[in-house]
Amino acid sequence: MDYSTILDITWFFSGLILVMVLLNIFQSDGKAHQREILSESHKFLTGEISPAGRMSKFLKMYLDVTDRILLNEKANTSIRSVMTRSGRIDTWKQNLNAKTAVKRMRAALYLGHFGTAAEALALSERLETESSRIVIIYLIYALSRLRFAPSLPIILEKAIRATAEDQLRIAGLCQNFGPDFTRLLGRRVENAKKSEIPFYLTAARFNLSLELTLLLTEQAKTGVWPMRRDAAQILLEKAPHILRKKSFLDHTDHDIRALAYQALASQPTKENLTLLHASLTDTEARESAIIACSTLLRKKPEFLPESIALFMKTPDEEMKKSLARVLAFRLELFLQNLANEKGGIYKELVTSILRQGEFSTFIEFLNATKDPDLLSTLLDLTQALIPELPGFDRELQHYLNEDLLKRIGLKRPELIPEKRNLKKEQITFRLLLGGLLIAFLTFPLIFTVLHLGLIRDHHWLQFIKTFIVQFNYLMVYYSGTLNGIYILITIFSIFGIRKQLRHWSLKTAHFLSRPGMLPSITIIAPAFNEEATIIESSNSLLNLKYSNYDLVIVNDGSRDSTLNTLIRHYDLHKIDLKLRETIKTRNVRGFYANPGHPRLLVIDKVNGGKADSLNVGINISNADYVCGIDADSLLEPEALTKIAANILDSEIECVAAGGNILPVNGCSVSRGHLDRIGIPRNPIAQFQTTEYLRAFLTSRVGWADMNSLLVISGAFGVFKRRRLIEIGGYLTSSGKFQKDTVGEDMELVVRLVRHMHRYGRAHKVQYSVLANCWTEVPESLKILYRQRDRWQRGLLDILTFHRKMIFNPYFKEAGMIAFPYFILFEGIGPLIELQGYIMVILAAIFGLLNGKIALLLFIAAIMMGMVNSLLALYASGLQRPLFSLRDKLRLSIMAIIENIGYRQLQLYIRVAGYINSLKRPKGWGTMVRKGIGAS
Amino acid sequence: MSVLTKNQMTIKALETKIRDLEGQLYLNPVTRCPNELSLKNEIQQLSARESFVYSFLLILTVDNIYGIRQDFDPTVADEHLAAIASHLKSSVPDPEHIYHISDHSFAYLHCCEPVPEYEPFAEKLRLSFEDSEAFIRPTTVSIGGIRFSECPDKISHGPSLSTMALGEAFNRLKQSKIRGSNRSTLTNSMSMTNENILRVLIVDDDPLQLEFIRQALLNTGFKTDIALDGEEALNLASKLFPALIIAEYSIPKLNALRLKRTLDENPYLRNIPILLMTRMKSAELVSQAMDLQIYHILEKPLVPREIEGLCRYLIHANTDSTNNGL
Repeated sequence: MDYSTILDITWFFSGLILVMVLLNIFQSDGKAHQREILSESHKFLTGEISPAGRMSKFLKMYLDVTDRILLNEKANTSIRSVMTRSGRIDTWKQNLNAKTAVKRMRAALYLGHFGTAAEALALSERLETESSRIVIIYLIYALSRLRFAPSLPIILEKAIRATAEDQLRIAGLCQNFGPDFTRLLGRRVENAKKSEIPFYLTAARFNLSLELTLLLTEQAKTGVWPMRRDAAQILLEKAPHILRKKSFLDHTDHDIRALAYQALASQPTKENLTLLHASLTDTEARESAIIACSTLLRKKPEFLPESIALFMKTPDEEMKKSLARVLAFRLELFLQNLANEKGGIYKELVTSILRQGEFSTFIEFLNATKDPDLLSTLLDLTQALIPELPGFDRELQHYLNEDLLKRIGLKRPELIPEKRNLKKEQITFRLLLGGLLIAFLTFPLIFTVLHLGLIRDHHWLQFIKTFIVQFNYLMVYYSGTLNGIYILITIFSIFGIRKQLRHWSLKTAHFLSRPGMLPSITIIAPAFNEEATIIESSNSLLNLKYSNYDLVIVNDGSRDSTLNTLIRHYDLHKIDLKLRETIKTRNVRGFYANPGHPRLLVIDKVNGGKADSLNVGINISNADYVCGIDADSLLEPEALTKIAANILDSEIECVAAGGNILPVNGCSVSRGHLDRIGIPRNPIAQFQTTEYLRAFLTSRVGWADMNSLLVISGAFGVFKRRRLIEIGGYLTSSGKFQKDTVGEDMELVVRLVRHMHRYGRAHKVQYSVLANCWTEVPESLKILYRQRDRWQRGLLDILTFHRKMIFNPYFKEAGMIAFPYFILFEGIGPLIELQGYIMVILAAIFGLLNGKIALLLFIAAIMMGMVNSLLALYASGLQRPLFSLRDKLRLSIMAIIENIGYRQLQLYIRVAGYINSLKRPKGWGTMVRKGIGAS
Repeated sequence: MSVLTKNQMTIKALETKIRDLEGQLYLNPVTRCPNELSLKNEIQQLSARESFVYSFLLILTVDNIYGIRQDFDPTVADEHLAAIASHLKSSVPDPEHIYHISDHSFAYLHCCEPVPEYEPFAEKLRLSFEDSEAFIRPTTVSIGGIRFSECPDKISHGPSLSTMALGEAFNRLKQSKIRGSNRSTLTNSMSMTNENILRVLIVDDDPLQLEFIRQALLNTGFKTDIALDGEEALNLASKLFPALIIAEYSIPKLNALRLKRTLDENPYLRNIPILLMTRMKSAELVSQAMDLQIYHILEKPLVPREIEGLCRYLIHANTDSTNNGL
């Protein structure tokens, strides 16, 4: 390449950068559309609307309007006639057979709005041959809007073959057909085939007709396993009186019996209590019987004496144990009575309850009680019980007041670091060292082998000089390739973002709000010492625009009053819940809830780290998906809807989905709501804004489209709960793999993908570019360094832990594209790049740097980087409206200058992270309190 | 004396005793001020005294207690109320006659010598709150007041005196509130206008939805105000006293149910009916709304005619109860 060509390339890139800046600044922000609708709105109300101008624009407006109000007949007729006259309806009918799914979806949606019987016929014909699941949903939605009953047999056919999630959606949509659907089901149910039953059960969730009730009863009695349980579950919700029958109370399956007990508890009468008392001896379903019994007693506290009398009377030890657990929720009442003259009879009860491990209530009571007589009685009791109850002393040591602790002669324990697995660490160390050697020795070795003659013929200084020059060229290639890959991914991403926007424009609020359409989601927010912010963030999380979600706040053994702040603010009460310990975690100390806030559940548990808290949330959740978020991050109200809509679009099973992470610094926030979006003033945070837009928002869309997305930030990610349970949840030292990691979020996705590949299940990791989560980013270099160092160490940790996936074609794109990329460019790449920079400096010192190399380096390392940054900024701007004009200008400037300085800083931090991983890992063994939950 | 009359005497004596006891018992636990019942008793007894002609009654209500309830613990709000009570006691000539009559309303009954000038005294009292630094947040009060000399003769010695005086004072207080917070109304200068009765407050964070509802109510004679989030709605409601609030369930900061719960704490806003809108009507939501006495829940997309009709119906059904003051 001669000098003038290089100059031409430089000019080309400069021009490109300028164009990109302008493009970014004058990107449309979607506000014009809003203004237009506002000015046209009255026409829709009066019905004097006649579509003019661009039809696509009008249709978009139409969808926006009909989501909010129902148009009157006049407006509907006039719009429909225009659609017919202009040939739109015919075009849509043709488009029903179009190749791209989006076109078919759009056609179905509009025909559902404007169609008549003829169009409905076309829709149901299409439905017969359709294979894409999301298009099927749209077709059925359209048919249900038109209430075209003749299509019901075809819909039923499709529904029976659909996945369980889609069956729920279809059953929800079918409710719109009203009695037609119920009658059809009634006829079909009588001689139902086995394969059809799951759908009928799903339909029964919405509308329980007589035929369906009979089917459910029969299924719950004699059906095969998963259906038997499902049927009983639905009966419990819809018709508990059936479950109360003797045939269910004596059923051979203990799952069914458990549900029958719950049905008993839903009707608090004395007879039912007696039945439940008898059920306490049921060894298989004891857990449920205990909960049912205490639920009933909570509803009718007047029956409490019955249970206490039974406890005193019964000789059966097992029965006593169970009753003690039933009565545990009134422990405080019994404790109050201990100091009375009649206290003797309560002593046995209290001791039995404590034997069941109900320590936390007891300790809280001890801490709170003011009565000196009662206190001394209780302390005596405590001292007598300590040798008898294993683990009691540890709980006391951690949670009892200092002076009370002294009175019973115990001490607070010291913190000791956790034991490390030395063997595993050695392997990691060797691998990392190998990587380091490869990074530093490969090129010199190749160079030496190729230029052996040089060593013989020339002075060693000349040899080194040639080496330096060659390395500079290598650097040009390396940076060029790296930036080339980045730009390529960004371009992919632009297509990906456009696709997501097209899909989102078809998701009308009416469509999304059909029952069962969006999956249920549990948000899990681990909180450790967050008393200052917990109310604000929980308020924000309780105010999301999503119909089917709940929030679990896991108090991870906070030392401050996080739990008490929550209890006071939401007026929570301790409740009993059956916790399935499907993932092994540290001990849970209690559940808190308030019927006035049905979405909120607070879990108090022993300290075990973020991953451990998330695992507890996964255990307690009943939802299809769980969403892990940081307690200090802020979700936009629509974020969950957008991420769930994205999941809905996936043709194959979506196991995980991530959303955007954006820096909240610079935005104004009040009461957990984002009032104004802005960019930070602090330059370090500003650089991070451009970086987040480039690295998280833009490039991940590209990675997801290549099926190679392996990183979903822990600050906001949604995962399929069933799969998480299959893989044993997040990685913790108390869990399946006995290993802690600093990058638990990425590790989870990698393990999830690995698991799905191992069982040969088609799956997808999505990235929803429309769902925003705002989080605080560091504003000082020191904290930034710490954060990035942790990320780099986490990455390397995962790369070594899952080393079997590297270049393994078994794991398809994840093994062949994503993992090699991570190793080459993120793992040891920084080491090579650092060498490159050193060589450039050396070359400059030796005077070897001619204009040609310098210019090439500038193009490859800096200018291409700038093009990528600006392109990414443009891509992120497609998701509008995000930033104001002035902010966009500032971001453009930042995108240009981040390539000089900030990128090099990151490089330094990454190398430092690598070196830190090699050191004896002092930051790895997290400080864990001595032995809690070890028993 | 017959046994019957004897018994009646005993009953009467007992009743007086009970009333006395009640008078002692009925102290507000937070502020240690007597309550509304004591105030009514006091007013009844007042009519027999000489001081009656120059006595006057002031009712003060704290403007921004809700902000404090929202941002702090309930205990902080209690401390705040106690601080207000002690501030009141220190700034009036007769601290015995400070009453804590409802959640955050106080009354001062002046019935002794020396007699300060009625209007300047009230103004001074109001301004003293603005200047005071004893509170956790800058605090203002609104005042409504009545001089007993204003009462017609027939009523002054009748049993309905306390009802009348309190009612009139409350009405004037309400007028102060309508004109904005931190005001006082001491004479019968302003009458309630229809304008205030026909205000409708629409709360939604979706501008297009707001616009449609506004349009639907455009030609009906209702005056519409809009708020984009729960907090703004709360502020507007306590300033404008709308006759109806139309609110989307999930709005930022405070959702509609929590908004209603907060409004319920204020006796002046408690009676405003709420029309709830939602995307997805669920059994849970309906039962929660019913618990809070929200009886009308509309599912989006809305029918404009339905909104308009319901507005008319709710406002007319409710006008009587809003006119009653408390």
